[in-house]
Amino acid sequence: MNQPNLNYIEDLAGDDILFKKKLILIIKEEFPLEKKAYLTSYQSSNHLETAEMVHKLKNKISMLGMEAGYELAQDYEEELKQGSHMRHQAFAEVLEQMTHFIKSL
Amino acid sequence: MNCIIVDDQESARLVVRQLCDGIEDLDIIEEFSSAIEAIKFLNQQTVDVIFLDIHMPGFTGFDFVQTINNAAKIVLITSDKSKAIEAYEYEAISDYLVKPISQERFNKSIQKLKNTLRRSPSIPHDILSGQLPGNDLYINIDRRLTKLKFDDILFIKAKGDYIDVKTHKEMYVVHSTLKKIKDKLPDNIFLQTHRSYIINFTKIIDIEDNSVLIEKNVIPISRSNRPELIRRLNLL
Repeated sequence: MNQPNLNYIEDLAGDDILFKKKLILIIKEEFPLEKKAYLTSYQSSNHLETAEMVHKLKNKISMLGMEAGYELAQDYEEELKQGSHMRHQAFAEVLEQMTHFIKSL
Repeated sequence: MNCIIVDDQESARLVVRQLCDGIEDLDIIEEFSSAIEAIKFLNQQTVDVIFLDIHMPGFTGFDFVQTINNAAKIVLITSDKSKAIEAYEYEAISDYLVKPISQERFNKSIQKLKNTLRRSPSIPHDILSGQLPGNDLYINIDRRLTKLKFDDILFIKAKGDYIDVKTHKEMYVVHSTLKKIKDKLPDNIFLQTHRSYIINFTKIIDIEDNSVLIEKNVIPISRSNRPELIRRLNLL
């Protein structure tokens, strides 16, 4: 699984340091809430709602350049829509990687 | 080109704003985290382009596209690759961008938009068709033709081979179908809210998520008809 990185954000920012700082700040605010919402839905076994949360998290996963994580999230979202959650553990690992990375920013 | 951004995630809106930054003739005049707020805005103001997320709480991007009464071109922005075919069924949708969006891909989309707008200058739609219908309808009751004023009709309900036409004072049972009567009713007053119901839009007292109240009658609203209902509301 590839590691989270700032390649996409830095490409987009170019010399605009303010944009980069602002986006990171927003990610630091949004990500913990989205992760918590995902875990709450997962624990309540509401698969469709959990799929929605995974979908929302896909945006952050892609922003942090995690291509393999994004593919996993895509498959997991579809799996949830079919009523299964076999990929939960692997997805939780992606979220943990992101948590550590975002904290380090 | 005047643009708005509609996405419930602040981070996603900021990325679109950054992608727009520095593109000549592209002005972001407003951004919205809620589709409903954007619809209210669009009821008051015309824009050229809407950057729209497909997945928003309680309202999909496709609901939004069907709801707005605006000649704007729409660029869908999403993490969902699977809706692309559906997207191109809508004439208003100019492009379908999958996150993460590169500056290069975004620039291509804007160029395509500029070309489209140059070819077809936007003409705002009018809610009314411009056709002024008569004010009444004759229904056949026991071999007598009874005249009903459109304004007296509250709603019509399908019931097998019959329809119930409800007015303030009476309920008329008529041998007809909902489709036939719908063709006779003016679009600016009547609206189908459900496969079995047409309502007189001007008689609504109250609206909830899945129903409207007309006098003491609760009329269901189906998911597919809800966007049109919301489009017609004079939302504050």
